[in-house]
Formats: sequence, C-alpha cells, structure tokens
Amino acid sequence: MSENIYHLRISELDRNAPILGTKGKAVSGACLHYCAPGVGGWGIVRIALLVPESVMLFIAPHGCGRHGSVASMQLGYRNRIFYLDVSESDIVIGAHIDRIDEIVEYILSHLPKKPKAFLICASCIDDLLASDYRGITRRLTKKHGIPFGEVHMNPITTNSSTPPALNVQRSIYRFLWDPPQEQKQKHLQNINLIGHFSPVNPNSEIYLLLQNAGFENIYQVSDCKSFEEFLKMRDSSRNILIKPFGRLACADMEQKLDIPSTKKYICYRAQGVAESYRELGKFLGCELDYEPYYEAVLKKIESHRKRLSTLRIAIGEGVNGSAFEIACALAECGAQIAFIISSAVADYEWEYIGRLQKIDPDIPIYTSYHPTMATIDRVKEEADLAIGFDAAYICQNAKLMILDSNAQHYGFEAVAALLDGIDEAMSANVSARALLYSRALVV
Amino acid sequence: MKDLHMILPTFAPDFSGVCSTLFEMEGMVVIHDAGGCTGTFTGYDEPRWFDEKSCVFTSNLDDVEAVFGTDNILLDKIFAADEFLNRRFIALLGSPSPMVLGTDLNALAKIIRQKTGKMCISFNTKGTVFYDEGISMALLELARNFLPSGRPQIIPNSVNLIGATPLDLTNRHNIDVIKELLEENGFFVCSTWAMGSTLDEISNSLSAQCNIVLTASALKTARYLEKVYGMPYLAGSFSGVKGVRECLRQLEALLKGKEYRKYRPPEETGGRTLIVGEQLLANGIRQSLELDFNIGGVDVATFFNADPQYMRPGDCKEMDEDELLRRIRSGIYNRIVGDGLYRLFDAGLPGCRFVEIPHIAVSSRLSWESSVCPFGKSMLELVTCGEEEFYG
Repeated sequence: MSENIYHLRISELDRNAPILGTKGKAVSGACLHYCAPGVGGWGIVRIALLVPESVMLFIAPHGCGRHGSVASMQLGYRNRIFYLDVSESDIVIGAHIDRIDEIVEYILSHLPKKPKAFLICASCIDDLLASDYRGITRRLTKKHGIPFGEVHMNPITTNSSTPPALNVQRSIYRFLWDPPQEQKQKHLQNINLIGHFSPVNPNSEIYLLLQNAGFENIYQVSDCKSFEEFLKMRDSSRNILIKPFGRLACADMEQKLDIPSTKKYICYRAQGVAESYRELGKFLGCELDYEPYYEAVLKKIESHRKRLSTLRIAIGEGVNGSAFEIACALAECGAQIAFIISSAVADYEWEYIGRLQKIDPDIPIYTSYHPTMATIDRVKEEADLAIGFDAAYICQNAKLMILDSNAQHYGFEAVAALLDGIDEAMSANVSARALLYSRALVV
Repeated sequence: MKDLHMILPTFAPDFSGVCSTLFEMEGMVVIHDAGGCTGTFTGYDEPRWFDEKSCVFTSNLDDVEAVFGTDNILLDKIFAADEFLNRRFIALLGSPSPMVLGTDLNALAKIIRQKTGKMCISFNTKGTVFYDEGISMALLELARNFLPSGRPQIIPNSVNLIGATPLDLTNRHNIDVIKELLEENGFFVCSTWAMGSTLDEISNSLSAQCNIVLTASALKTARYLEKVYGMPYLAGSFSGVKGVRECLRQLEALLKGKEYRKYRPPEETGGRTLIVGEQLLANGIRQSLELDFNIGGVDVATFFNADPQYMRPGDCKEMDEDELLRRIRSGIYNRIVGDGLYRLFDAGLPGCRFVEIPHIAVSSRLSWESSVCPFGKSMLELVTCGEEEFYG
C-alpha cells in the first residue's frame, strides 16, 4: 500500500475546484470514500424527532434503518420511532406504500397517547421510485386529525442542492405552514433561532442581548416543551440562522410565513462575534449592547494566549462550526495548527482560509474520506490537542476535545467555551473510542 | 404486525454480512451506495472498525449517477483506488439503490477483472435481507475463488472452523476459546473462516481433515467443500463441558468415518427454555443445557434463516417481533437465553429467568464491548449466575 496520504497545503486549496453539493468546493477529486470511525453526525431521524411530541414511521429496507434504530436505543427515543421493513417484492409492486394506512393505524392504536404530529420517513429507494409521500401525508392528516409530515433519509441526494441535512430541517418547519393557516399578526417580541440541534447554552449572552432589545420570547425547536409551543414559532417576527443546515427552512419560512431571516453562524473569533452582533443589530433595527461581553472575552483570550502558544492543535470536520474558522481563531491566539480536516470549503470559509494562509501556508488539509486514509493509523503530524473525533482518530496521541453538536454554544460564550474546553481537555484523560461510540453518530 | 419493528432495532443486513466476512481478507471491498449503507456497516455492525484497518469503501453514489446510469464513474473510482491500494482482490457489493436501478454488478465485476487483471467478485446484496445471507454468500465465494483445484497432503486431526464473524461470535476471544478447546483435545485448527486467519491460510485450508461449521450461514460452504473436495463436516457445539465433550466425540467419529449416535435429550421438567439466537450457536447452548444441566424442553428460535436438518419440533426460524412476544407471553417458558435486548419483551413475567448472550447482528454496538463468552466452561457460569441475577 502507498504511504502517501492524500492531502493539500492550505495554500493549495482551490477556489475553482469542483462543487461538492451545497458543501462548497471539493478538497479532493471524485473517489471512493473511506468511512473513518470518527465521522458522522446526528442523523436525519434524530433531527426530525426534534419536533416535540411527534412519532415517526420509517419505511425502508431494514439495512437503511439499522444505524438509526440502534442510535435511537442508545439515546432513549426508540419508543417514538417504528420501522417498516421493505422487501424486494414490496418495491416491485409498491406494496409498502399500500400498507402505510394499516401500519399507521396499528401504531396509533398501540401508543399510550395520541402523538401531536406524525412523521413518515422515506429512503433513497422511494426517491428513485418517485413515491408520492406528500400526497400520503396530506391524506393521513385529514384522516387522523393530526398533522403528518414527510421526511427523507436519502443520502443519494447528498451532493444535490437539497441534501438530506438541509431537507430535514425544511420537513421540521413545514409543520408551521402546512397545512396553511390563517396568517396572524406577527408577535414583534418573538424571535426564532434556526439551524442547530441542541438548545443554545443558557449562559450565552445572546439571550440577554435579545431580551434587552425587546425580544421577550426566543424560540428554538429543541427547547420547545410541546408541539403547541413549537407552533408558536410561526408567529415570530424574525429568524436568526445560526447554522447553515437551516438555510432552506428559513427561505421557506420567509416565503410562506413572511418571517425575514439573517445568517449569523456560530463562530469562535471574538472579532467575528462582535461583527456578527453589529450586523444582527442592524437586522433587528436596534443596537445590541455586546461591548461588556466583548471586553470580558478579550481579557479571557489574553489570559489563555501564553498557554495556547505552546499547543499544536488539530481540527476536524465534525466540530460544531467551521474547522477553518476555529483554526483561524486559535492561530490568531498563537496556537500552532497541526492540521485541518475538510471535505469541502464553503463560500464563507475562504475569508478564514485567507487569514490562515498568511499565518502558515503549509498547514496540511486532510480529507477523512479519501481512500488513502484506509491505509494509516495516524498522520505524520503530531498534535497536543485534537478537536473533533475525526481529528483525534488520526492523531491518537493527542488529547481529545469533542466540540460537537450535542452542545450548542453561541456568541462570546462560544469563544469562552472553546478556551475553557481546551484547558479541560488538556487535563483530561478520556477514551476517544468509548466516547465516540456513546455519541451514536450516524453517517 | 408483519415486518414492523416496534421494539428491537432492525437487524444487520446482507452487505454487513459480506463485509464482515471479507474484513480480514486483504481485499478492496466497495459498497455501491450513497454512503449510508457503508456507514451502517462501519459504525454499527463492525466492532473491529476503530482498532483495525480494512479497505471497505462506499462508491458515494449520487442521484445524478443513479438517474443517468453512469457506471463509468464508479469504475474510474475503483481503478484509481486500486492503483495505490493494490489489494489482492476487489469485491463489489450492491445496496438498495442499485437494486432499484437494476445495476448489473456482475458485468461491472467482469470489466474490473479485465482492466485490473485481479479477481473481482460481485455480490448482489440489497439491504432487504439479513446478514446471515451475506455471510453465506461471502464464504461461498471465498471457497469458489481462493482454493486450489485439488487437496494437498491432509494433516491428521486437523480442522477448519467456518462461519466466524463478530456479528455472531462477538469477538476474537470467543474464537480463541473454541480453538483452545480443540487444541487441548489434540486437534489442530488450520484456518478460521473468516476471523483470525489470512487469505493465504484460508487458501491453504484444504489440508484440514474436516470442517467444523460454527454458524448456519456456513453450511452452504461446508456442503460445497464436501461435494467438490470430499471434505466431511459437522455442526460444532462448543458450549459447556459435557456439551463440548459430546461434540468432540462426534468429531472423532467423523474423522474415523464411524457412525455416531446422538444422545437422547432429557424430558421437560417444570417449564420450557427458549434460546433466541443464531441457529447453530443456539443449538450448542441447548446441548449444554441438556447435558450439563439435564434441562429438557429447550426450543431454539431465530429471527434469521435456519437449516431444517438442525431444527427440532418446536424450533422456529425467520420469526418476527410478534412471534417472539407471543412465545414469551405464552407462559410456557421459565428461562430465556439470548441477547440482552430481548429483556424488553420480558416485562411482566415474574419468575422467568434470563441468560444474556449478546448477538451483535441484533444489538450492534449496544453489546459489542460485552465479554460474555458462551463457549466452554464459561457457559456453565453464565447459566448459574444468569439464573440468580435475572430471576424475576
């Protein structure tokens, strides 16, 4: 086997590289993909079930339901999801579609209480067969008096303009406008945070900043205790998109519910957070008083700078945010970037790449999926700290900092969490393998 | 409700069975899928994936390739990877999407053979059937493609173990226990298909005197080897002490070409026992319960395929959740042996004892750190301690 592991230097990243779906410019050409142990995320089923008080019927060959059903047991929501195995003959004659009504009734009759919403999840094969799940869910909504929604776990569309990770968020928020409701007056004091999975950390200053700006009610789907509370998101006056995956959902809500939105992605550079709040203030028509938080975090950075300047840090793609932005934040604080893992560069990341190229044009950029990755236990670069499971897997002597979507930081609180997290990780001794498998990540 | 999983996870699919069997075989395994199927195998059906390296890849099929049928994209990716990986063979597996598209994997394998000059095996896996079918396919292809045409000199008292993967046997320690049991009794293990042996060791395995089948998915291969090479086989039972002794006596008889009369099982006394698991492993546990504990009335049930030759009246194959629930709630069983997830069916049945033996094809990573070993003496401890621990 070849010992030459595919990688680029950061100075070699190409703005004219082929596009990899909505992810951005590809880091490697088309190739077989290696599925490294550290890759994966929340999975479509888990994200869709953020809809409070909902249940799901997953309709697919049983191989497609395997990872999600095991993950649902690990994470404790197995009682909200039901799997209908689709056989080869079902596919040929469409028998699985014909059985949906019967199966839905069976599930409803076996639940201790009627769910507030019912999701039906289809897979790649029904996409290829052009099965009409929209029509089925509309019919079932009328029949059972609760809203039914369609979800697609269809990785075959990953490189398309509507990949599953974006599409599932459309499915979640579709409940707000489908079936259509009479438009109510917008509640000016209500605002939504969109795109993320876990609720934003309660210590984030964004709550106070928005409240002081007159937004008394801040909604996020993962924080809604009931389906009724979730539906209140339709009456909010603004959407703030804090992670890219909610982009299509925001566009839908703008069109269907007349809720304007702004992109203010999570970032870890203090200057970037300040700039983000300045722009957010303009969008909201007020000034956000973020200065005290900014000053506090700048002091915190100064107190960490000496320590950071002694560290070699590797950053993986599975982090909550942009690996390039995090690398930039840390490099500007004096840390040495050992390597970065990325499969594609999104438009907004070129700014950070430009900054990193000036600091160190030789930073190696690996892709977890390139087939050469199957030949190595570790890359040749050494690191003291690896942020993200994927980075830790190819640099197993480094300490692990997880920083994944299970904890959602935001604003200056995210900067502080990154710095504190580094300290904590450097003094901890954890098993990456055990932690990884406890996270129930899904590819 | 038929085909509906309300309680258990869905089970390991056929492509996981193939990949698991070929994991240590030094090949390049390509699943023609969009990534999710490969992620299922690597993340949920393969306990070795974190600590060991194997060249299993996804073709990363996308909707444009699927709709336009541009198979040359897949071929180019395989040729490019083969250039720098240079593995000993290539295996091309299907998944639900190629099945719907009618992709001709056999034709693609032929093109790959012609272009690379390497062995390329195709597997029409679909994700709609279970892992045992995948293991069965992969073992048979190993036999068809990697064995010489004739048998070399036979090593006396030597055996091959066929049908070992983590999906049924959890880990390598369990295989080692079986090997030790054989070696302590004067037998030499030539190869283990396909966990703990190299492709060369498997290629040289015709020097073994006979084959021992560990799981039902290996029966097709054992019968093939018997038909083509005249190698006799037996279904192994390695649980317990007297259970193993019975198996060894049967093995000695087989090697000497003598008839062997199986023991007569004890009568049922005070409630039946239900073993839920892979058929032949479950049969081995039944043998131990009968001979080591004098327990009668033991039924074997499996969600997967089972060979009629090794079934007894009361046994059941290809059951669904409803059938397991019906059996457990029937009240006739006072002992259940099987994966820990079956406890989820056990609620409300006071007095029913449970012995946990993990089955990775069912419970996946939920139990792949388990150190439970159902082989040899430890089976005795399991039954004794398990009965105390899980008494309802």
